[in-house]
Amino acid sequence: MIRARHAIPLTGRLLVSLLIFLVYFVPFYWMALTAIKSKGEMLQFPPTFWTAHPSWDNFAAAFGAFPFWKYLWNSILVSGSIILCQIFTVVPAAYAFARYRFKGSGIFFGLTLASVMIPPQLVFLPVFLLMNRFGLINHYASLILPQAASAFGIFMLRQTFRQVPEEVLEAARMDKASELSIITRIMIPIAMPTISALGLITFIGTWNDYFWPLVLTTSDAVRTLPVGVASLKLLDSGISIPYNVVMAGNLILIIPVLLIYLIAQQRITKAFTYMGEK
Amino acid sequence: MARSLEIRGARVFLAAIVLALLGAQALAAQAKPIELNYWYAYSGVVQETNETLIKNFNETVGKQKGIHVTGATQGTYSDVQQKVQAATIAGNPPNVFVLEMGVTGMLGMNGITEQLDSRVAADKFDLSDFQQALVKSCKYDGKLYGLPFMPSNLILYMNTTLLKQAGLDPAGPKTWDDFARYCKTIKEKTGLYGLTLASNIWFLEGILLESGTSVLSDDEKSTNINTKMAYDAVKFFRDLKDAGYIRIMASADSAKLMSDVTNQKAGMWFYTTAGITTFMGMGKNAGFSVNTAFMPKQVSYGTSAGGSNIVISSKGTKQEKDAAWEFLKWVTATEQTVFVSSKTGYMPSRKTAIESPTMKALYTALPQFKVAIDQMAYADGRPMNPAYTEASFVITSALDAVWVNGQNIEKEFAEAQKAVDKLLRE
Repeated sequence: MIRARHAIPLTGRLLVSLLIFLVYFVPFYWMALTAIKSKGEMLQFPPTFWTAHPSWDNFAAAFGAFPFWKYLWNSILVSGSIILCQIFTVVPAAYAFARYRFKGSGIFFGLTLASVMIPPQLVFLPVFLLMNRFGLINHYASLILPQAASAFGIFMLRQTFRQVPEEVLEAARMDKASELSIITRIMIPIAMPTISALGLITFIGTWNDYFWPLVLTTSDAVRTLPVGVASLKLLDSGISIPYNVVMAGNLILIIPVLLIYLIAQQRITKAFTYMGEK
Repeated sequence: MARSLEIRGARVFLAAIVLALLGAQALAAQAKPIELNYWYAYSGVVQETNETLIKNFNETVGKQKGIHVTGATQGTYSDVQQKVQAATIAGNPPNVFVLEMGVTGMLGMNGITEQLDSRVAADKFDLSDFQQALVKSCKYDGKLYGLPFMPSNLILYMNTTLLKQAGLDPAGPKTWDDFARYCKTIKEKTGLYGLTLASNIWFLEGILLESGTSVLSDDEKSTNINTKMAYDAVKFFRDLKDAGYIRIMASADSAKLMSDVTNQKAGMWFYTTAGITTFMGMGKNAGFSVNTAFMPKQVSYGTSAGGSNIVISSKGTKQEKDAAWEFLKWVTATEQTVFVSSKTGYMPSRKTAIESPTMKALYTALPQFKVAIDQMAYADGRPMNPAYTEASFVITSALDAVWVNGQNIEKEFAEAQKAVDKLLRE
C-alpha cells in the first residue's frame, strides 16, 4: 500500500532527472561525436548520432593549425597569475569591508558592487588605450592586470568573513596576533571553501576567455588557447567552417577545466553548504 | 691643484666613453633593418601562403633593402579591420594589412590608410596590368588607397552528376531563361532543388549588374533597388522559389548552403570562386563532379568583384612607409600573384599572371579555375561609399523579407530605399 503511494513520485523523479541529465549531457556528447567525424559526415543531413568511421585526424589538424603548446602554456600562465593576483587583492579587501568600519567604506563597497554590472565590451576601448599607453599590448601584463581584482570575489568573501564570530578575533588580538596573522591563520582557513569556489570560478572564466586575449594581443607570443581554438573556424578561409576540427579543439580546451572541477568539486559543495551556517 | 686636474681628466674620459657608446649605438641602429608588421586574415592555406610570401620577401628584397617583415593573423577580414582601427586610435597600427574590397574606400576616407598615387607616379608603377575592376575597388574619390591582393568574384557552381541525371548539359545555363529551365528540369527529373541560395548583398549586386542596373547609382549617393529592373531581378528568383524549383534561405542561414551541397540537395549554387578547392574536395568525398560557369546572362553578363586589397597604414615614419611600399610592390608582382593564386584558389590580380605557364597549365587541367578570370571582363567593383556597409544591412533585411518571408517587393524596397539613401548622403 505504502509502496503504491510512493511509486509514481519515484518514476517522476527519475524521469525528470533523466531529462535534466540529457539536457546537459547531449551537447557534450555531440561535441565529442563531431570531433571524430569526417568532414563529409559532419555536414550530413539528417545528422547521425553515431559514427562508423571515426576520424582521429581532426585532433592532429587542431594541434597543427596554431602553436598549440605555446598557447596552452600562455593560458596556464595567465589563468594562474590572475588567480594569484586576485587572492592578494580580494582577501584583504573583503576582510577590510567585513570587519572594519572606516570613512567611505559604504561608498567604496557600493562602487565595488556597481562595477560587477559593467559589461567588458563597454570598457574594452579605454582599457585597450590604457594598456597601449604603458606599452603593454601583446604582453602578459595586459592580459593579467585588468582582471587582477574581482569585485564579485570581494562581495562573496566579505559575506563569508562576516560570519566569523567577533569573539574569535578578539581572542586572537588579545594574544597579540597581528592583523596579517589573523587573516592568514583564522580567516583564510575558515573561508577555504568559498576561496576554492572563487578560485574555480575565476579559473573557468579566465581559461575560457576569448574576448580579452583577442583584443589585447596582436601576435602568437602571448595568445591563449581559446583564441587558437576559435581560429580553427578560419582554416578554410571562411569558405566553410570545419566543425569537426573546431570540436576537436574544443574538447582539448575543456579537459583541464573538467579535471580541475573534479578535484575542487568537493570543496565547492562544502562551500555552498556552509554559506548559510555559522 | 693636481686633484682637480685628475677630476677633470676623469670627467673628460667618462664623457668620451659615453659619446663613443652613443655613436656605436647610432651606427648599430642604422645597420638594423626596418621592422615592419603585417596583419593578414584567416589561418590554414591562406596563412601558410602569407607566411611563405613574408619569408621569401625577407630573404630577397628585404635583405637587399634592409627591411624585415613580421606577419600575424588576426582572424577574419572583419577582425583585422576592427583591430586596425583600434590600433590606429592607440597610435601603433601595423604597417601593412589586408582589407576587404568593400571597406577599402571607407578606411581611406577616414585617413587610416596611406594614399598611394604619389608613390605610383614617382616609381612609374604600372597599374594597367591589374584587372581594372580590381583597381577601381582600391580607389575612393579617385585616389588610390591599396593594391589588389586576393581577389575573387561570384560564379555559378554546378553538381554535374545531378545535372546529367536530369538530362541537362553540364556546361550549364547561359541565360536567365536557360537557368529557369534548368531549375524546373532538375526538380521534375530528380525531385531535388535546382538552386540553393542564401540571400546576400553580393549576389544582389551581381544580378542587378546583369539586369542593366546596379545596387547604387553612379555617384553612390542613392540606391537603385526601388526601380523596375531591380524588382524584376528579385521577382525572377522569387517566382522560382514559389514554384518550388529552388530553395532560398535567409542571410543568417548561409551555413546551410554547405550542407545542401554536400548532401546533394541542389543542382546549382552561387559562391565565391575562392571556394573551388573546397567544393571540388566535397565532391570527391561525396561522389559528385563540380563544374563552374559565368553567372547566367540577363541583359548582360555581370558579377561583383570581391576579396581583399593590401594597404599601408597612414601612421608611421617615412622610412617605414617607404619600406611598406616596397613590400606592397613585391607582394603584388606577377610571380607572387601566380604563387598565391595557384595555392589558394583566389584569382590572379594581374593579366600577365593569367598568361604565365603555371596558371596556363592549371587552367588546362582544371578549367573550373578559369571561369572567374574570364568573368572579370564583366565584373564591377564593389561600392565605395563609406556608408555602404551599414546600408547593405538594410538592403539584406529587405531581401530576406521579400525572398524568405514573401513580403511585397515594391513596399519593402521603397522603405529600404528611403533608409539607404539617407545613410549614403550623410
